[in-house]
Amino acid sequence: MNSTTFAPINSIVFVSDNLKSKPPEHVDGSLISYNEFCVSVGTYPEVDGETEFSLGKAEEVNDALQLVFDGMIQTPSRKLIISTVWDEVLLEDSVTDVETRIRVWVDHLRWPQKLVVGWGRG
Amino acid sequence: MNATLLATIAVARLRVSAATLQLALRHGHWRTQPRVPAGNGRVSGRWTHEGGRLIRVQARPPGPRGGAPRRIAGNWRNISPVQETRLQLSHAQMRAAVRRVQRLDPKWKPRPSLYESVEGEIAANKAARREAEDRHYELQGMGIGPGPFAVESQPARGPGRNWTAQEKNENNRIGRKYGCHTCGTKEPGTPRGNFIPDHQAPTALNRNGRPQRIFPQCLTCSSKQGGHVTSLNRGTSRE
Repeated sequence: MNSTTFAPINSIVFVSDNLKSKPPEHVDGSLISYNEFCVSVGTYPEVDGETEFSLGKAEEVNDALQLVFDGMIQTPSRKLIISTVWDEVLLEDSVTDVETRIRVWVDHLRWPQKLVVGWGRG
Repeated sequence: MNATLLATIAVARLRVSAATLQLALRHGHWRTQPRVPAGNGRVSGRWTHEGGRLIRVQARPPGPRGGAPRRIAGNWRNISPVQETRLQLSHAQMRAAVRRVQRLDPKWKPRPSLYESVEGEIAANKAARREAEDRHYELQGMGIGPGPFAVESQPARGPGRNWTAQEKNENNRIGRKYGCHTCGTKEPGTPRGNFIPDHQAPTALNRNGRPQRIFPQCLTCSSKQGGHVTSLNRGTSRE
């Protein structure tokens, strides 16, 4: 599982197959929004500090975190990236199918300082 | 005749010549000035230099009420001086409104209109201006462009987000006084009570590198803005 620490602009990141995916409409008061191509996840407010991001197979996730998303997205390039509003790629991983089950765990439901994205059946 | 009188006469002649030239330009009588010919894919009838070469002039006599004729939908229409003024005004206002939107949403364009008269063209300009104003209002609600609650701001040092303590304090002071520039709330929604310093125009859309200013924004509006900016940047906002 790969990890990095960053304070993304707009306190939001996108989990998708590529940098051209249409981001989902933001839902007021919700940490997560999603459509069939992309999941957007709120992070710790950028002005207050950084967030730790991890990406890997779901079976490798063993932190005691809260599951906030469990669903499928299209991954036609068989890739999964975590990116920012400025299209910076924070983490990238290869997946096996053109449609991938994604799960997102966080350590806080409003201001997560730790955000884990797991893919696959695991 | 003394020198003063000669100078006065010369100035008067110059003024008459300038006024004649101005009238000729306004009414299309200056036959040696090149104009864009019809059917070449550009807006016909406009003055041009075309790389220093002269192009055949499409001169037309003035209309019955004195205004220069205008080509609309392939036909020359007479236009009164009053109509000409209204047309120019409506066009200038429409262009200004569209430019204001395109500074934030470069790919945006008003819907094209069809018209067959000068009044139709004026109405089309007014409609495009209204459409641009609506789009600007819509963008403001997305946090793109200074929002309806924007009062004070501070200059940005650049697109970077390595805020100094002084910048954060000033941003918080403005936020506590006037609220989030997009929604007006005075509750930033962050764990430490800091308002998010928000660059306007958003850096991802500020392709010309224009000077930016920093406005206070709440966490919810900042996150929403992130989705909208990404949509605009990826060209997916109207899909």
